[in-house]
Amino acid sequence: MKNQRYTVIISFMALLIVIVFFLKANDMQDAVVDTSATQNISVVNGVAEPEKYAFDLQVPKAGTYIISAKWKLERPGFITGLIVSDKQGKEVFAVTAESCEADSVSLQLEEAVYAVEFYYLSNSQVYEQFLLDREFENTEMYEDFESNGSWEWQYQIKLIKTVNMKGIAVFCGLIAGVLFTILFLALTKTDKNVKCKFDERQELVRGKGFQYGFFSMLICNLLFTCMELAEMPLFAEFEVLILISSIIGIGVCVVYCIWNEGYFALNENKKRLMILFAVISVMNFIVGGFWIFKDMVIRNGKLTYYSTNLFCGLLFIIIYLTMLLKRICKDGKDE
Amino acid sequence: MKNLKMKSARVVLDLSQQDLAERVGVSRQTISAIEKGDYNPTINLCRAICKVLGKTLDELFWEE
Repeated sequence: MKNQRYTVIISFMALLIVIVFFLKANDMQDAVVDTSATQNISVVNGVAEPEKYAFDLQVPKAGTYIISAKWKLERPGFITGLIVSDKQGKEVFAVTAESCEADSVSLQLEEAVYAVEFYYLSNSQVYEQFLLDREFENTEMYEDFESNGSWEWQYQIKLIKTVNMKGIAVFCGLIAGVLFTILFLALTKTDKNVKCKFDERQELVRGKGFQYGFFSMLICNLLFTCMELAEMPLFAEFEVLILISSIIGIGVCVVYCIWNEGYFALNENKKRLMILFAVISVMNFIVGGFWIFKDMVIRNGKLTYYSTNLFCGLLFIIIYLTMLLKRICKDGKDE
Repeated sequence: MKNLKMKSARVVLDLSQQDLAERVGVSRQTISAIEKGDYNPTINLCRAICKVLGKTLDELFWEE
């Protein structure tokens, strides 16, 4: 049984190494296409010559890619607009800048030839038109157009193949969660066993606790659904409401079980469990505080999913306080 | 109803609730709940308690 604990610890460490490796691997991805060139641009009476520069970009294989664009002007005087479009002329990526070092979001590209076009926007009319055509919002108007001049303009375009990092991250996160739970269970046991042992009375209490928790969650879900149907203003986003329902359900179940002495297993180290709960609570509040500091918790007057850590922290604080209160109430009552 | 017979049988053997609980494989709170009359144990648990305390089911759990 002792080996069980070591197995879990080693698995957890291995998973962390894999996650770090994947994150590093993402940084080290090679560009499938890497092209660069220098152009001489001249502007006469506000008109650029040449007006644009275009070339084809061959995507070797269908998949998810990032288009990385970079161009530089030693001396500003016009704006460059970059458009990448498919065979049908549908734009997949567009950006405007005087000098630029930008990556697109992950794009799903087909195995085909894509058109890359650089537009040299040398006066406010063409620039405005370019923005209007693409419905670019919140773009500041450029004031420093030069009517005459010549520039040496360098660009670099990279096509970088990406893997579905979000999917991998979610998958690793799930496995890490499961392993952490097993590790948590193993660390809080007195007999080095992962499995909790309960006696018959505790099983009954827990059954009742689950029942109350389940109905509390159901009532919350119904309440939020009714509020949604009645088009009442909700205080949080949908996923946060689901989380709140779950937290209320878990909270009711755990508080009932603690209060009726059915929460701690026979082979559980209560002191260690309480310390772990306090640590988890503090960690959640630290992460929640970070999101508050970043002003991500409330958007459009609603709680966002960034508030989930705060709710988790609150749940663990309630559990912790119930344990403490029960301990205080119990003192001197036994025997 | 409080189970004073069980409590006295335990005290005679100089066992604490914790000792008895460990011997029968339940929590101390469960022994406390049985003695207070807050919980009716299953026949299996009654038998285990009787064995540890050296009494019969009638002596410990039969109400006259």
